[in-house]
Amino acid sequence: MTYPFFVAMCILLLLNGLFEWKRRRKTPIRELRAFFVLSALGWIVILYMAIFYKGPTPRDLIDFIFMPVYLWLNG
Amino acid sequence: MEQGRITWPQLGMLMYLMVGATSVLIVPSVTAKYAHQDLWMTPFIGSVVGFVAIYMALRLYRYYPNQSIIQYGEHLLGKWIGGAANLVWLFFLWQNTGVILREYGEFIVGSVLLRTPQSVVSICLIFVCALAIRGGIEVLGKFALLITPLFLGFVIFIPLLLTPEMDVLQITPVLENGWKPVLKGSILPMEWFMEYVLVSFMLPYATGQQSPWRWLSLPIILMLGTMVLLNLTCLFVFGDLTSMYTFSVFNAAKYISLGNIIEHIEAIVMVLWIMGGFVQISSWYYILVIGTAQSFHIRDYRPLVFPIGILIVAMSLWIVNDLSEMTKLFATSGAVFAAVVQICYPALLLLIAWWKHKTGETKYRERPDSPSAT
Amino acid sequence: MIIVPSAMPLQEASDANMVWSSEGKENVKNLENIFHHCSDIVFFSFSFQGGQQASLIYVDGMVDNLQIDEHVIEPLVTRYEQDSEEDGVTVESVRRTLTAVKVKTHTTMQEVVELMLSGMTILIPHQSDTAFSIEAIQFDKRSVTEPDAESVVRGPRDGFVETMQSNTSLLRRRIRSPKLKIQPIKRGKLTHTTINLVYMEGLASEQLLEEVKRRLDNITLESILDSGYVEQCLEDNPYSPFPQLLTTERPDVASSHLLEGRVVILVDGSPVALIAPALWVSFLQSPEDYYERHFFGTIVRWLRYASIFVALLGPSIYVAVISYHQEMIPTALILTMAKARAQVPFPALVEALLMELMFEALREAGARLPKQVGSAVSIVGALVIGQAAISAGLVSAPMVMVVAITGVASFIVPHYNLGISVRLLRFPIILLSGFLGLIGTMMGFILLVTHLLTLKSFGVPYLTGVAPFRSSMMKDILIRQPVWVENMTKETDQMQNAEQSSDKANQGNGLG
Repeated sequence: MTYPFFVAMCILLLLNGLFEWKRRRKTPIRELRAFFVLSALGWIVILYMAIFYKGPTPRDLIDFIFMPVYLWLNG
Repeated sequence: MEQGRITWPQLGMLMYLMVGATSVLIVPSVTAKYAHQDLWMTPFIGSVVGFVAIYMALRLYRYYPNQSIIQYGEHLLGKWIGGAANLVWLFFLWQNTGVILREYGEFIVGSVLLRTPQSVVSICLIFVCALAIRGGIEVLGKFALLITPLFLGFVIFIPLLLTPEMDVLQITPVLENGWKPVLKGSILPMEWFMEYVLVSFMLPYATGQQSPWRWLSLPIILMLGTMVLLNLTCLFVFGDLTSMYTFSVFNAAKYISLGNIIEHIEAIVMVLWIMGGFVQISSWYYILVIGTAQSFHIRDYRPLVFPIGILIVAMSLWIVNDLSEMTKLFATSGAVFAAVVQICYPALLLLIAWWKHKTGETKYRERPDSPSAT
Repeated sequence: MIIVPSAMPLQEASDANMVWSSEGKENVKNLENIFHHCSDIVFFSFSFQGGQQASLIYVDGMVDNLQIDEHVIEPLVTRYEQDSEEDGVTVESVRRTLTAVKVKTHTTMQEVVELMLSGMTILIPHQSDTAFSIEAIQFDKRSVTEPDAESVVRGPRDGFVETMQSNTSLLRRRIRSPKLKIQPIKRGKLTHTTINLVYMEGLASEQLLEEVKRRLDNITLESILDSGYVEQCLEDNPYSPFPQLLTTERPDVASSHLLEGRVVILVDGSPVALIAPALWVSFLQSPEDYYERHFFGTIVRWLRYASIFVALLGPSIYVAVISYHQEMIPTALILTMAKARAQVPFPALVEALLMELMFEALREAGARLPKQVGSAVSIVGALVIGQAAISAGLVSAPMVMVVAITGVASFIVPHYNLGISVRLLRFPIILLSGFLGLIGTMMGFILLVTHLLTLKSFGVPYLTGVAPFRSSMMKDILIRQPVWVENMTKETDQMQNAEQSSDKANQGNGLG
């Protein structure tokens, strides 16, 4: 994926973080932790997309697991 | 968790749009590739799977009221295996939501907004959906109730307005190559109808005296009718060329011409479709958010909405490189993955629950004070 | 007139002067100190017939001087008789003399100051420890005329005025039932404004009344100058662009809502009454729908629903179609449009925003116009902006047409506050459609509907009738059912049901 996309998504993540930062006193710790983990996961995914854009995708994962099953069902 | 409640009619309409809005986007084209002029028979076979799916969801709901498949999965399979299964479910939901968003993105960018980057369209759609979800399931239910008449209206009007262009004889010869191509073409409709098992996430929030069976069979029948009608429309208008166009119904709508005034109204068709798509993406998004919150025993799902939105946008652009790869994914390994997650796993759970019920274990009742109670 | 004791103590007067002594003369002196530099407060000293001194204190301009002369001063000066030397000036002796007027006694400085500022005349005999308040209130007030902003072709032409007394009497004259209850509350630390809560006992639900009272009690403003202040404090969601309370200057509208089980809030000093709870569909109803025959009412209602869509989405759809979906326009039309737009240097989005802003500016200027310059501005508006701009090639003729049509459509909304919301919400949707075509319009529309679905007015969902679909309400939303079929009580039950189950979906009759 192209770099403008990466930058745009980072900005969105930051905006989201700001929005939750303002409300951090009101939300319980579990939700804050989940929010942080999910944001981090999102950031890792888009980083991966920016760097390894020709690398394996989730589709490859699905193919790897299920394509043999499909071929077995077919043949 | 979620305090809102929706009624059974709202749930029915929600399910119809949730599964049916994309069922007429690219499916006719792919089914035409395998079944040729018998493509109108494929939704009937697919709908059987739909009934199986809601039967499983309702039976499991009867054993475990007020819980979704994520929660009673953990109960039935134990903490570790159940947790792993939930993770697979979450991955499935994530992947499928990304695919749906990608379908709409490709549709909009490929047909109308030709020079807009797809990420912009995806981000805008997800943002609107995120705001709707933060309002809770009531907003989704009421919105579905408002949008379904519009969507049904366009489903009926397109064939109506295309009657001058139709050639009914395209339907012959019937069953030219026998049943095998029809069955092969049914893979995609079946894949769509399987998604009705997701109703298990919404069942805890449905109230009202109406009959669940009636209002959950209605969307299946509606969707069956929609698919058959629009498949036949494409067939009558295009004949064998149906498999040439990716978005068959949309391309058929381009031929609507009424007295030289109402022409090229495909933009309106697209808008009505996207409205249905908005409900669809919002419901899948909502289910993903609720599923995540339930898997990790988080009480309030609202802070999770935006990060998951970003993940969905990322997934939509990451999962496949273009439409042809997506079509292949649907037809091959994606179908198996969907079947395993949506049919085999609930069937397994149903079996275990039935066995536990039969041997008299009463521990499946959820204690009211435990944290994962909704 | 009922004077309500204030819940908040007067803080403007210094504490030293707020004590009440047993010597009337002291009290008069304290009052003079409190009202130091208030040239409109009159302190009038005179003697009773037996020589006892007394002071009459009132606000000049708020009392009826004739009545005071004839019914207070004259009897006391000519006919006052003490009971006995030892008792001095007693309450009974004064009351006996002043039989013609309503007299009350008071023994706290707070009450005396408040009553005086409300227009009562205070009589303090110098040898007594009680003060008497006499009601002889008369001040200038506007006569009851038809409100300018809510006129009808057929129907009553009276409107609320700024005086609370007149307003409540207008309501009372329409609903001559003892079930019409009027409860006063005083709010505003400095203004001590009386707010009246009006409702029909038995029709309005208990929950609603409690909620309204609770919210009114929570108002801690320093000054309440208009019902708008109260409205903004009472709203469920002050950040929403949509109004959640109905406003009206017409007593017939207020009465009809009272009879449907709603609550009317009257604020002293403001001719605008507030009605709670308000639904989206209430804003699209005009009293004339009911006074004319039902066929007319139904058709005009449909016209209104169509107009609100045009007002909201008209310019956006135009911009989207011109910029992105030109193939949708019939061939003959697109040739003329292309010719008209050929000279314009701006893209359709900029043109639309410019013209809409100009229209809003004109409208706002027209609302504040002194009469002397009214004609000049109309000429400027019509000629300069319309014609000259087109000739100069700054905007295209179709755009001016679109702006004019949407402007007219937005004024069809009978209630001004919803009209403003719709007019202002046009702009973000125009922006969205300028960037993303019809998809943008649709997104803006969806965002709007989502917001409306989450909005509540005093616990009742804003789109009740349409979103939680109540088929029983359709007879008043979709059509205007003839009066001889309407059964108001049933609808009120529905309203009460809707309020009582605010968060749970109802097992209603019909969908939703």
